[in-house]
Order: sequence, then C-alpha cells, then structure tokens
Amino acid sequence: MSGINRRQLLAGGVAALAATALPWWKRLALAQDGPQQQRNLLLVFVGGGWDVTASIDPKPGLTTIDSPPGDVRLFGNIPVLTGSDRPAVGNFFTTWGDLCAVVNGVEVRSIAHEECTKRILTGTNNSNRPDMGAIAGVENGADLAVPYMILGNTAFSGPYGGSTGRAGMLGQVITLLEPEFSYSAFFGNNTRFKPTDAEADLIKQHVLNRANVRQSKVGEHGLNKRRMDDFIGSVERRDLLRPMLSESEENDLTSQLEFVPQIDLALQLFKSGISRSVLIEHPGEWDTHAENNAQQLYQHQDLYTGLNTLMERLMREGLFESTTVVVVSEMSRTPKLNSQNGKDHWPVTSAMVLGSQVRGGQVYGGTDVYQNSVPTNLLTGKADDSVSTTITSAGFASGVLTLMGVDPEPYFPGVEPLRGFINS
Amino acid sequence: MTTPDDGQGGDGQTETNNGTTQEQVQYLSPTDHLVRASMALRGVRPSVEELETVRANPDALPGVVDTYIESEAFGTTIRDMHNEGLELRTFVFWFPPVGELSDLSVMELNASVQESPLRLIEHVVMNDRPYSEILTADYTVANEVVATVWGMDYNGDGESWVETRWPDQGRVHAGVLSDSFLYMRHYTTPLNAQRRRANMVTKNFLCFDFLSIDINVDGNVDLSDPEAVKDAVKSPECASCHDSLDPLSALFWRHEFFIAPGEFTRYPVSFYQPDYERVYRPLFTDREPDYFGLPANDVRELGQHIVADGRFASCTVERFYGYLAQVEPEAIPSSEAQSLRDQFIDSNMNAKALAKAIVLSDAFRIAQVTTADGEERSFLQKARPRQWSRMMEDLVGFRWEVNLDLPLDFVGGGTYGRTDLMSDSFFGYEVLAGGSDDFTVTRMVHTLNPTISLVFDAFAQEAAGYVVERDFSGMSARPLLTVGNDTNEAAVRGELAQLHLKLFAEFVEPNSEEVDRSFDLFTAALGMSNDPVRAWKTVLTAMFQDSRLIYY
Repeated sequence: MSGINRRQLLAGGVAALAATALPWWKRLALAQDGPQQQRNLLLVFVGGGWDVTASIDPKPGLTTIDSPPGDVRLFGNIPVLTGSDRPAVGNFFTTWGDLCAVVNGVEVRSIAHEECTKRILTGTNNSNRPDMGAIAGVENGADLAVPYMILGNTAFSGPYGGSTGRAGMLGQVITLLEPEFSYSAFFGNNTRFKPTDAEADLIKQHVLNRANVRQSKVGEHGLNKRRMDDFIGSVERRDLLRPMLSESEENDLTSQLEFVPQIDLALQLFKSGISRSVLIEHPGEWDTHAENNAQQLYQHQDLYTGLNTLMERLMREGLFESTTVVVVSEMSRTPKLNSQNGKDHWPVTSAMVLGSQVRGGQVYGGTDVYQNSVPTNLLTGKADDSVSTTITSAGFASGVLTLMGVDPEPYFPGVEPLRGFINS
Repeated sequence: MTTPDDGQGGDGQTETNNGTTQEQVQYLSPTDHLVRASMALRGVRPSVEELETVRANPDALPGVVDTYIESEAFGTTIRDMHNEGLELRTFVFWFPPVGELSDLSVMELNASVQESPLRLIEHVVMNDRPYSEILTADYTVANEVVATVWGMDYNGDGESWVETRWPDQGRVHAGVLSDSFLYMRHYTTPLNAQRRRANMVTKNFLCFDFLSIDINVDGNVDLSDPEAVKDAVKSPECASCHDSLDPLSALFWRHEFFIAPGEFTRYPVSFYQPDYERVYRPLFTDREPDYFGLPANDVRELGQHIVADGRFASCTVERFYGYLAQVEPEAIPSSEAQSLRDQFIDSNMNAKALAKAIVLSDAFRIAQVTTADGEERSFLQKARPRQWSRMMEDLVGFRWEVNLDLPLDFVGGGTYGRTDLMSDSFFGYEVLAGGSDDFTVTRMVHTLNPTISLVFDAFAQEAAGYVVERDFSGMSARPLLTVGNDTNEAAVRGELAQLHLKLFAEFVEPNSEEVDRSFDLFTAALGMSNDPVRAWKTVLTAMFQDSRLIYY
C-alpha cells in the first residue's frame, strides 16, 4: 500500500542476528521484515493526574482516604464510584464494562508530572526510550505511512522518531496538506509555488535520487543509514497523510484542542491505514491541588462522555476487533485532602484496557486502605499476599505490548509483564 | 586510536585495530567540516568566500571558526542551546501586551520577556566573561521592553540588551539565579516547598536530576498536614534525596509561587516576594538552607557554590558538546569529555574556547565510522527548526512569516502578530519540524518522519515561489538567481553550479554529473510548462528540501 519495499529499509545482515538484547535500530529492521500484527493501539492520555478514588478505585468510608461523594456500583466484577452528577461514568461501565480491564495499583514511583508521564508511557525513567505507542506502532506497522501518530502533546518516540508523526498543538498539520489551507493563503502574500502533479513528481524523484546518492557516500551503515532511510521513507510516505484532511468542513485549527475531534481523527488514521498506533490526550484540568472533588467529578463526566463516544464509533466503524484502547494518567492524587480541599500528587495510579482480546469485566492489581499498591500475581493479575511483586509501570507497559502481540523482552529485559488481563 | 586525515581536501580513511574490533573512520572534507562547524555554531552555512578559503587552504579553518564564535549568530546559538534545558519559550507563560506595552503584539512582547535569562547568558559568553558569571553576575540585562515589564532602569537605545539591576531594594543578584521569569516559568506550590526550582537548577547546572530516582511514598502519612510531611521526608527512604534537596530548596523562597501572566493588567509587575522566606518557609520546611552540606544563605552564595563544584564544569561540557554535536550525554566519548573539561577550566571557563575546541575536535569532524559488527554512532546532524529558519533567510533571503492578526483572549489581551512559522510551536511548525514547545514536547527529533518532511516540502514551495518571483522581478539586491529567462544550456548549467556551491557547499563544474541531474530536472520541468519561471521554481523546490541542506 505504501509503495515502500521493506527490503529497502533493512540494514544488511540483520536477519542473522539474535532477537534479544538488540540495539533499537536493529529491532526496527527486524520488525520491518517480520510478520506484523494488524492490531491498532489507541492510547488515551489523561494528563495532570486523575483521582482514581473518584471512579475506578473507589475507597468510600475510610478514615485514611478522603473519597469524593458517590455510590459504589458493581459492573460485572468492577466496583466504580458513580453519581447522578456524572452519569457518563455509569453509562460507560454499563455498556462497555465487560470489555474493560481495570488495572489498579500501578506504581510510577515519582510525583512529578514530567517524570511520571515518562514512566507511565515508556515504562522507564529514561526520556530517550520509546513509549508503548511508538513500540507497538513500529512493531506492528513499520511499513505504514506514519506507524505512530501523536495527536496529543505528550509522547516519547525515542529512537523511533522516523516512524512517528505529529498533528501539532492545534492540528495545524492540515495547513500543510493542501495549499489552499496554508497560512499564506489566508494571511500571507500567497506567492507559494503550487506544483502540478507532474511537477511534484519530478521534485520528489529528484530529491529521492539525490538522497540515495548521499546514502551511498555517508549513510551505508548503522545510525547514519537510519537517518538517510528515514529521510527517504518520509519523502515517499508524506503524501499518504492526505486522508487526514476531513471530507467535511471541519478542518478548523482549534478542533484538535477538543477530545472528540481527536477521537475521530484517530479512527480515520486507522481506517485509512496510515497509522497503527495513535495517542490522543484528554484536554481537561486534572491537576486538582484545590477543590479536588468538584473538579475531578466534572472532568470524569467529560472524559467518560468521550470514552463512550470512542467505543460507539469503534464499533460503528468496524474497528473494535482490531483495536485496543489503553487509558492512562501519569499519577493519581493523594489519599487525603490538603488545606485547600485539593489533592496533591500520588505515585500509584490506575489504567483501563479495552479490546476484544482483553479479559474484561475485572479488576487487576489493587491498592490498600492507604492507597499503596498491593502485592499482585502478575500472571493472573490478582492481588496475592503470598507474592512480593507489585505492578510497576514497566510491568504494565510490558503487559500492553504482550497484548499487542509484541515481545516485550527486548524493550524490558528481565521484567515480568502483567498478563492477567490478556485473553489467552 | 584513530588518526586524522592529512588535510589534503579529501575524505580520510583510516583503519585501526582496537584490540578486538577493526574500526574504520571516515572524516569530513575540510569544506564539509566547515559546513558542520558553521551550522553548529551559528545555524547558518558558510559563505562561498569562506568555503573557497578553506578549500584552498584547510589550515585556515580554525581562523574562520574564530570569526564564527565572535558573530551575533553564535550568541543566538548560545541562547538556543541553553533554552533546551531551561525551557523558557512556552505559550503557557505568555505576557499580555497591556498598559504601556499595548502597542506590541504577543509575539513581539514575549520575544523579549521570555528571553531575559538567555540574554544574560549570551551577554556573559559574547563578552568573554568567565562562563561561571551566568550564576554569579552582580547585574542582569534588559532591553526596553523587559525594563518596562519589571520596572528596571534602562539606558540603552531600546533594542539593545544592556546591563541593569533588578529594582527591588536589597535584592541579591546572582546571574540567572536572580531572574524573575526563570522562577515564573518554573513555578512551585507551597507544599512543593521550592523543590521543583531547586531541581531545575541542579538539573541544568550540575546535570543532576533528583527526579530520576525512584520514590516510595508511605500511604500512612497525611500529606495534607505540612508538619507530617516535614517529618516524613526525614525517614530513611526519603532522606537520601531530601537531606540535600530540601536545604537547597530553602534558598528559593523569595519569589511568588505561581502567577499566570495573563492576569497582568499593566506594567511594571513584580514576582519578587522577599517576605515569603520569613512568612512561609517555616511553615513548609524546617531545614536550614545549605548547598550539599555547605553553608549558603541566598542565591548569591548558591551561585558561588555551584561554579566551584566540579560538576559544573563537567555539566557545561556535556551541554555544549551535546548541542553542538547533537548527541545525548551518554554518547559523548569519555576521553573527549575529560580533555574538554580540563581545557575549559584552564581557559578560566571561556565558553567560546570550549565551543571552538569541540568543533575542531577529531570526533566532531567524523563523517562515518564502522566497527566490525556494523554498529556505529550517528554523525549526520539535522537542522533544528530555528536553525533552518536562520539558515534559509541567510542563504536565499526568505523567512516563512505570516502576520496572524488574531486576538488571544487566553493570554489576557493583544493580538498574535507577525510570527516565524519555524520558530513558533503554537500556530506554527516548530514542533512538527522536530522542535519543542518547552512545556509538553520537550524532546527534539533529530531525524525525519513524514510530518517533518511535509513541513520541509511546504517550506520549499513557499521559499521557491518567493525567491523566483523576487529575482525575476529584479527587485533583490542579493538575488539567488541571476540567469532570468535565459534557458541557454550553458547559462542554466552555470547557474546550477553556483547553486550547488552556495546551497550544498559542492564545488562542481557546470558539466559535472551532479549538475547533469539538476539540469535534467530543469529541462523536464521546462518541457512541461514551457515557462522558465515554473522550471526554476521546480528546481528550487527540490533543492530547498534536499538532504544535503536538511542534514549536515
């Protein structure tokens, strides 16, 4: 579909190398040559730190935890704090609860936003490492136009920068896809050269030819080769982004600031075969150091309204079978309210995973009455006092990769993945 | 040990035997080395004259580099380099054009206000002061806009950045450690007790990040009780960080915790609150201020301690090398780092000398290295978006600017204004082109992907259209194209050879194979449109997105 010969992107002799403990650029080459799972990953990032006791890790009636108001309802085996002021939460679990795995007690082991974000997305404390979206995108969609598309802001492509794309703060990538949408068309002198299709093809072929010549001089090996491969592949594939332009009138710039337009674009990217992983970001104010309850409940209503829409559209578009949705926030909130009725940062968070291959309707992991992570059998995902393991961000990320059909060992050597939520 | 080439103008190919591995090193030619040094130091390409000088006499290269580190463009690079750590250029902390500054656009105002810590660093470096002065200077710098915002005295011409002082009585000066905008950007909360600011300082100037360490918080602690928190951070699990972090944090209490600049309705404003140290500090910490066990009472003493700390010099080398060579700290050759550190200290911390030493090193001018198993480091560098903008303006006279006459209510007033789309992460393409927005996107991308390629393609079309129309109209004093409507083969080939030299630093003859390819493109385009204007636009669109321009 992309017109790219995967062989052109391979380093020589890579297939002869062992699959474990490889540098990342060799992993990429193997991914491009090997069988690829047709599994999409939609990462929903809730930035700022959600209060999990306001929904999926309810803790009412404790002196050790200040719970927001509400009632605990059971959806399958998932207890959720609900309330009449946020009906979308209950509606979501009523409709989709049996497809949803709730994972509580994920340890990020930091309480700083940037650090926690890095850890929950990459499973590491290293911002040079790729996040779950980048890994799954490359491993399952290396020959697509943009294997990993970032529609939100916060993501880590690590060494997979050449396989990642961005839409921009306001979705301004659309201004690059058609000259009539460009800034200069509206605000500038509009002296821009608009090549005909034939002229554009001449330009492209010339640029590619010169790049191939340069590759033969300085880009024959290793990372230099990767740079030139990225250049060549990017020129080849950029026109394939054209379906990002909506057929409708809704190509206005500020739409990407909202949640539902991001959802629509993500699904469009999957349907068009442009991307295999997409990260979207809920734009709410979740960092509730003051007036925690009112703000968190408001944001929960908005988030779950969007998640309901997401699931409905996945089903309607026939994408559910091939798509896994992972909802994460980089941290949770402290068990007790502070002097401003807010909650501060807490290093144990939760996640939700939805998909046809997810063992849904269950809670995996857990927290105790102090909101600390409890020992968990990572194979079953169930709390188990007889073990010493807890769910770490690395274990969670490894589990998601396993679910996506990606061997996590090269990325997280020695880390035991959380497997309990995966249908065998 | 690898050996350099003999400077005869060709690539150096050296085989070495490093015990178990056979390493081949290919070095850049002197002119390609000059291109890389120029881009790294200035963000612009060498002039044709400079290329010809070095081509004729490779020994002249260091002398040319000397002119680079004295240039205004190097000062801009110094600001860009330090901004990658300090992350100051973010829309989240835009100041509104109100009061006396209401005739400015948002872009114009913040191009000054957000730059002030970076301008101080630039001032120190470009005036050959010891680099340590960035943390010890008994002054600050401002232009008229910044002086108006903060209420400083100003005796310059309006545009110039001149030395001045913060207006507050008794305020300690310690280079950037005194800068109000630095603390506004790196805000804190009472319970955070200035720890965020302290970590920002250690991360940037000592290359030590407290946050890289895992933490385990005891859920038994009532974190809503400041007294309980004070006790908790002394527990064995927490003391390893907090015993040094908290006394350090105790030095930063003389500023507001957080203000959204959009709240300002007039200028001057102040972020300085010396009383907070007396009123709030005792509520949230009982640690006496110190610097890793050494007594310190204010940021002046803090700055003195930092510059005396051995880590400061090492961290400075890491920052300069990482930026100029576009590598991560762990990829810096350790022997190189040690040597540079020693030279830096011996030079009385002269930053220009450090930059020069880096770009003249053998490691910097490597084109390609292969080891026996095919693994290697990357040596191709990608032009950063802001570098690209400067480079193309210098090369062809085009800057991708638009005038966005859009009101920005969330800023608190004003219109957006004229903006360079390659240096703008909000409306523009800085992030899409691989740059950062200094808030949520903080990692640069030093390779190409399809969305980055889209940016360069669009830029090329814009620039080609502008340049050809301009040059064919005869309106430019410094045209890129001089051949006009003449489609005679010799004239076109001559023009193309000049373009290869100017844009790609390639010394090629008009009848060379390289020019053959460009001429084929011109001929094919001319054959399609029968219009030399469109033919040149086609050629320039291709050349302006060539890998030889994007990577160096």
